[in-house]
Parts: sequence; structure tokens; C-alpha cells
Amino acid sequence: MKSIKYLAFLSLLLLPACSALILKPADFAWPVESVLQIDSTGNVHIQRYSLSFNTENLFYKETKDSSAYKNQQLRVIRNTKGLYFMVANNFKNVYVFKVDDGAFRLDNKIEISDTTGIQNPAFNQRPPYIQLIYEGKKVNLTASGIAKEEDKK
Amino acid sequence: MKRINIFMMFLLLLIASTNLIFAQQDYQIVQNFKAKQQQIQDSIKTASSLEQLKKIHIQIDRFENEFIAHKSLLDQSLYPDNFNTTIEKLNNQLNLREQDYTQITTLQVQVSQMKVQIDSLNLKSAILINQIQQMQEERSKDKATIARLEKNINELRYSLHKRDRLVMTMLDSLIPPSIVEGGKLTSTEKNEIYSKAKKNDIIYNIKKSINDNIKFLEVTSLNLTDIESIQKQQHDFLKLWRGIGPQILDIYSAHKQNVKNMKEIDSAFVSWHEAIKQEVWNSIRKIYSDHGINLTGFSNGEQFTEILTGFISDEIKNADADIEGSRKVYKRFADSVWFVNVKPTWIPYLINNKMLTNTQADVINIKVSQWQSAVIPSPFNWLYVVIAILVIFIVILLFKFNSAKKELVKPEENTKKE
Repeated sequence: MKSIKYLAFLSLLLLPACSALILKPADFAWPVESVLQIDSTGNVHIQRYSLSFNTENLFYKETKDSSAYKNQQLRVIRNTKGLYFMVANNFKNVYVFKVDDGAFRLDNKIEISDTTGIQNPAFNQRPPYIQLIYEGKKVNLTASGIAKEEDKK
Repeated sequence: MKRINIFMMFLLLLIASTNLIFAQQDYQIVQNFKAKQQQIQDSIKTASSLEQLKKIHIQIDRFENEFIAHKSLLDQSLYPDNFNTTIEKLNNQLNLREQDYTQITTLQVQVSQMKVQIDSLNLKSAILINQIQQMQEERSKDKATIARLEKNINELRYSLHKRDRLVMTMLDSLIPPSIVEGGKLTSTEKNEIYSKAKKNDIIYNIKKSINDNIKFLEVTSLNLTDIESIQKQQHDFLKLWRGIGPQILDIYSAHKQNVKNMKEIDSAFVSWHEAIKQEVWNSIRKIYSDHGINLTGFSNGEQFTEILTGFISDEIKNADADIEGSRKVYKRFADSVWFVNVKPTWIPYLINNKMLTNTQADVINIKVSQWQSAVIPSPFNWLYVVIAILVIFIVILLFKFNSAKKELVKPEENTKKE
């Protein structure tokens, strides 16, 4: 019993030393969305943030067409928590990605329209939300979906 | 009821428009800002007058007011600039351009004033060159003619100098200093400078300036001070041309016949430089001819050495037959010209300007000394006589001193024997 108490005391002392180093608060928000022209191989490059990635799978997921990315523009914005929101013309969904080992991993797919693709979408940074504007409408988004008014509160 | 309906409709319209304003895309705002900024920058670059530039001040104010509401968004989005620095940059660009235009306008006025003066000096120089040529050709020159000739030469020298300065100032005024220091001219500026240069016959005047200077050198014989002053003038002119010429060439490149003129200027500068050099040789020859020594013409250090030493060799040979005649020539050649004028004044100039080497100067000096030895017997040197007398005197003294010493020793020896 005595030895168990001693072990518990020791682990209490050692645990903080093993925990991850965290720097906070941190704000990853981009002030304005980036509008990216997709090249012939499906790649995009954001010069300001030195970021590049391939969009082919994203367009395939949305349209089931492997060449749908051609001649398209992708709109990307990063929220305060560091998640990437992506949308393009005629998409029904907004895709939320997080960075994972040299790739973008889908975190959430937010359905905006269940019938037809949205026209002229655009993102605004409205912390804590990402505002989506399309067809004269605007909706506030979080990583988990469309925000309700009480979410803000 | 009808009133309420109208009120409701107005309210709905207001809500819709407010919604539309709030539904603005941040990205679009930034893009609009950048596009308008670019548009203003282009207007600054292409403005072709000071009035147009003044209007851009209003455009910048409007632009600032239009986007001030989005300052915070723009501050974050215009990396590495921000809203204020962007406006500041536009104002700076505009101010710089206005300074250029103010300079150009001031210079334009100066240039047109100079054009009138240059035209009158061109005419005056032409008349004077003509008069001098005629006077030079007159065989008998009385005192009055010579005085008139000298007066005309002085007047011409002054006119040419003044005209050259004006042409240089005009050339200098064509292009703003900021451009000479490495800035670039817009196509509008290039056209303006071209038409200004054409209007003021700048290329013609440069060529005329150089050719008149060459003519002046041909019809006159100058002293070293005058030559040095002309040489400095030529050097300054050439330096200015080398600084501005490439810009002018660039502006003129669109007009092929003018490029030919520009190349002619380059070769005219070379001719002017050569004419100055020839004038130096001619002036030295003229000094000798003024003293009755007519030398064959020379135009470089080698020829000069050859002709002078050849002349001296002939005179040394002549000395065998007529020593008195050769002595007279020597006195004019060496005592009146070589030692008084050419050796102390012209030879250092020739060596400094790499027209004569030290070795060539030494060769002439040795030859002059040889001639001197041949025609003027070395004066009797009394110093040798004095030294010889002194030596003889000392030898006699020593001899006498020794014999007196011997006589004193002899009686002592006799006493010892006793």
C-alpha cells in the first residue's frame, strides 16, 4: 500500500513533464479568402502563404467527375482555429480540412444546398465564424456546420 | 391602408439594400482597391501634362475616402503594405512626377530663350570666320589690318565660347537630372523631348558648334593658354555628350535619319580632338616661322623630332662653310624660340598630353647642344688658369720649404760629431 502511494506521488510529479508543449492563444485566421486558379494538373498555389496542394480529389468527391477541376477557381479561407474552408462555384457543400502529415484531411462537409450547386460563393473572415456569401445570401459557418445565432453567444 | 403599403415596400427595399451592402465580399473589396490603385499608378505614369497630374490628386483623395471604411480589412490584406502606406506611395509617386514636369516646363522656357541667342551667335560666328579668312589671305598686312584681325579673332573666340556654353546648357536641359542618373523615360516624355530637341535644332547646333570650333582652329594660330581653354571646352562638351548622348540616341532611335546625325556627332568630336592636337603643332611651327625659320609641317611627336633634328643637322653641316650664318640661325632658333618659348612652355604640354616622349625631347635637346658647340666656341675658362697658377705656387712653396729644412739639419749633425 505504501509503495502504491509512493508510485502515485511520483507519477503526479512526472506527468507535467511528459505533457505536450502548447503555445496559446494562437490565431490562424486569414484576413481575406484566397481565390485560386486551378492548373491543368489540378494543383493550386497560394503565393502569400507559400501553400500548394492538389484539388483533384476534392472536385471528384463533390461532382463524381475526375476532370471537374478543369478551368475552375477554388476559394479557400482559414479560420482562427487553423481549419481550412474550401468551396467552388456549383458546389453544394463547403469542405472543412485540417492539416495532417503533409496533406489536407477532411474534417467536415457542410451541406449548403441539397438540390443544386451554389452560385458565386465567397468567404469572409468574421471571427469566430467564416461567413459564406452566395446568391445574395449569407451564412455563418463553424467547423461543425452552419452556425445558429445562439452559437455565437 | 395604401400609405402603410408604400411604407412597408420602402422598408423592405431598405432592408434588401442594407443586406446587399453587408453581403459584400472582402476579397472583392481588396481586389477593387488593388485595381483602382493600379489605375491611378498608370494615370501617373502616362500623364502628359502638369494639369493632368493635378487632377490625379483629386482621384487619390476620392480613392482614399472610398476605401477608408475598409481600412482594417485592407491593413491585413495588403501585405506587406497597408492602407496608409499604399496611399502614401501613390502621393509620393505623384509628387515625384510633378517635380519632373515642373523641371521640364522650366527647362522648356530656358531652352527656347537660349535658341534665340544661339541663332544670333551662329550668324555672328559665320561672319567673323569669313572675315578672318579673308584677312589671313591678304598678302600685305598693315598694322591696322593686324589689329583688326586680332580683334576679330578675340571676338570670334568669345562668341564661340558663349555659343558652346549655351548649346551645352540646352543639351543638359533636355533631360531631367533624375533620368540622367539612371531613371527611365516614358514614351510620352520621349516624344516630348524629341519634339523639343527637333524644335530647337539641338543636333544641328551641336554639330555646328563642333565644326565652327574646328574652323576656328584652322584659321587661327593660338597660344598655349588659348589651346588649353579650348581643350577644356572640348573635354566638358564631350563629357556632357557621353552622359546625355545615349538617352538622346534612345529617343531618336525611332527616327532612322536622326541616328545617322547622332553618329556624325560622335565622329565630329573625334575630329575636334584631332584638330586641337594639330593646332598645337601648327602653333609651334608658327612661332618658328615668325622668327624666320620655316620648318616642314609636322603632326606628331615623331615627325616633330625628326624635322627639328634634321634641320639642326643641316645647320651644323652649313656651319663648316658659313659659321657666321649658322650662328645667326642658331640664335633665332635656340635663343629666341627654343630656350625662351618652346622648351619651357610647349615641351611640358606635349609630354603631359602624350604628344611627345621624354626620349624624343632629350634627342632634340642633345642636338641643340651639338649645334651650340659647333657654332659658338666655348668661352676661355679662367678658372682652369687660376687653378693651374695655384698648383704651381703650392709646388714651389713645398720645394722651398723642404730645402730650408735640409739646411737647418746639417749644422746640428756637425755639433754631435764634435
